[in-house]
Amino acid sequence: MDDRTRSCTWDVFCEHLASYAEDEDFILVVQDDIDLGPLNGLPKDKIFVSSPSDPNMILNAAGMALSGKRPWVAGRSSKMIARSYSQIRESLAIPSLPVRIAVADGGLSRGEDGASRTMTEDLSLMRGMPNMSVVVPSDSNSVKGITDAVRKANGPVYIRLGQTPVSQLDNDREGDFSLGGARLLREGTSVTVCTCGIMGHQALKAADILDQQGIDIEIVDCYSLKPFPEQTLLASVRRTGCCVVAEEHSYIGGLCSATAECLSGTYPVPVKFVAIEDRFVHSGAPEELREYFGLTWKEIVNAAAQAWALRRR
Amino acid sequence: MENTRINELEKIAAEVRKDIVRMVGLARSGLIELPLLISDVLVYLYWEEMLLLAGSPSRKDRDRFVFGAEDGVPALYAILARRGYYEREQLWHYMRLGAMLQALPDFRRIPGIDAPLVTSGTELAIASGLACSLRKEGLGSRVFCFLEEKDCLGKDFMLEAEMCAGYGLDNITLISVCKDKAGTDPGSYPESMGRLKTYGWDIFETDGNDFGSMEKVFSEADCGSGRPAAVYAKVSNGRGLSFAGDDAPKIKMSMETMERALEELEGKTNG
Repeated sequence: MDDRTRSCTWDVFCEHLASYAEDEDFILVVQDDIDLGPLNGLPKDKIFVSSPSDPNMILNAAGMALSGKRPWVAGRSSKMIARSYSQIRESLAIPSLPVRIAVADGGLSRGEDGASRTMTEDLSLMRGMPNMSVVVPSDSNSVKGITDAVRKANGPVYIRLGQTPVSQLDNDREGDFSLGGARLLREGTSVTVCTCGIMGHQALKAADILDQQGIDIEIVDCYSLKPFPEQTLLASVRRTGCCVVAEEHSYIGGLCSATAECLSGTYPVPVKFVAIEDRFVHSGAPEELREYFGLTWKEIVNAAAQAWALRRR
Repeated sequence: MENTRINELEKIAAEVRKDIVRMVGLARSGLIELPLLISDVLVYLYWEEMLLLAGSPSRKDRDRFVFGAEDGVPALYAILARRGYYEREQLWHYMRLGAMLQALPDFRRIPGIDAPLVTSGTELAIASGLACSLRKEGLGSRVFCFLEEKDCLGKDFMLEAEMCAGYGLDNITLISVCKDKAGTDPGSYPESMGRLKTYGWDIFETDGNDFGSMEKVFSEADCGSGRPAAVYAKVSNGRGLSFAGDDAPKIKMSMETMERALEELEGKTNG
């Protein structure tokens, strides 16, 4: 990993989205309280600044999609997901309109703002909504690749981005990204470690420690939570016989649930979760909160050792 | 508008009202008061005001209709059937399993439905997104947003209305329907319309049961002024059924009630 190139996924997203702006149909729906970085320089007709009502912003985007546009909507998760859930459900998901919802403060990346503004159940809410696709990029390459894939989607998509600077997970490969895809970050034979977002970085740190204990983990970046990359996961778990899931989210309804749902029906193996318990978070710096809620390489090491011990010989 | 045309429209509206009663009665579920009250306004819009072609429901330059009166959905279905978007036969399966006409309009399945009905938000926001996008494409299409007056008072509605005026979306026409209350002074707007006026909207008032009055008002409210327009349409209880008025604002239809209602409507049609 190259620490010199650390950048947060939200910034990379804004930069990459700006490259689409020349597209005739490009339109971004926002409110005026969000830092759009390079997107601020877009021509006026490419940005629609909605009224200061979060539900209305979603409905504005729905109206544009009804006339054949494929708008992007950007904002904070607490506003767009929590306050506008029923508008997303009724105006985007039920009619399956091609609106892409990008949140800037996914997970604990704005932990200072406290429980009301830090959503750790957003993936659960969006994944449980029929017709909605859900993706969580983990580094610059995946932001670009996933954004390109999402651009072609015909239905609504939820993109969870963050504001914590992260390094590139695999410098050598740009990779192919698609809805329903996953990326193999490290090959191994002992334990499958399934991650999304920032936890891929923690899993790579854990791999070095586990190597010294003779446990060779395989890390799969499951950036597409829905549609879920079942075949990639199953192929890995058939080799390793056990699985650890790590995500910056409640263990209910997100990647942990998606993985358990997939494995329990097709290939049941021991599965351990590294995720937030069923509780709301406190205010705090993101790094402090990740330590507090057990979202670090240390918990992945413990979980991998336990899963490995539980697998059938 | 010539009297012969008014008579034609009144006949169409009478038939639409009978269809509403039959479809709601057969479904044994659903409400009839609001659908009956708004049928004249919808007939005027679909037969006289909006640019549309039933044989080509996806035509790009058509006017768009964003319907936000949840309890009035049967009227919209009956109008679309009568206007030729689909067979009237579909009305008799309203709300049944697998039927095209679900309780709320399914934007993807029903020809002639331009937007989903959002029960938990203001349809004006959908209309403004649509209007903004159509204007950007250079199409002369107008967007008609149909709401009950009681839904024009919320904070989200007002924020959106202010934004519409700020963007100068003159291709939006809001139709706000309200039951005509006894003692209401002609020309006195409700609070919602007063606030829209302060935001810069053009406000008009019409009798929602008088086709001549609607023609006059909608011709004045045509786009091109640089300001969005709102038409406040008062509709009268007398246009519906004698037993579906204020005493029973949300009656549900049984077969007996349906027969009684049809008899009453037949009597009105025949003078």
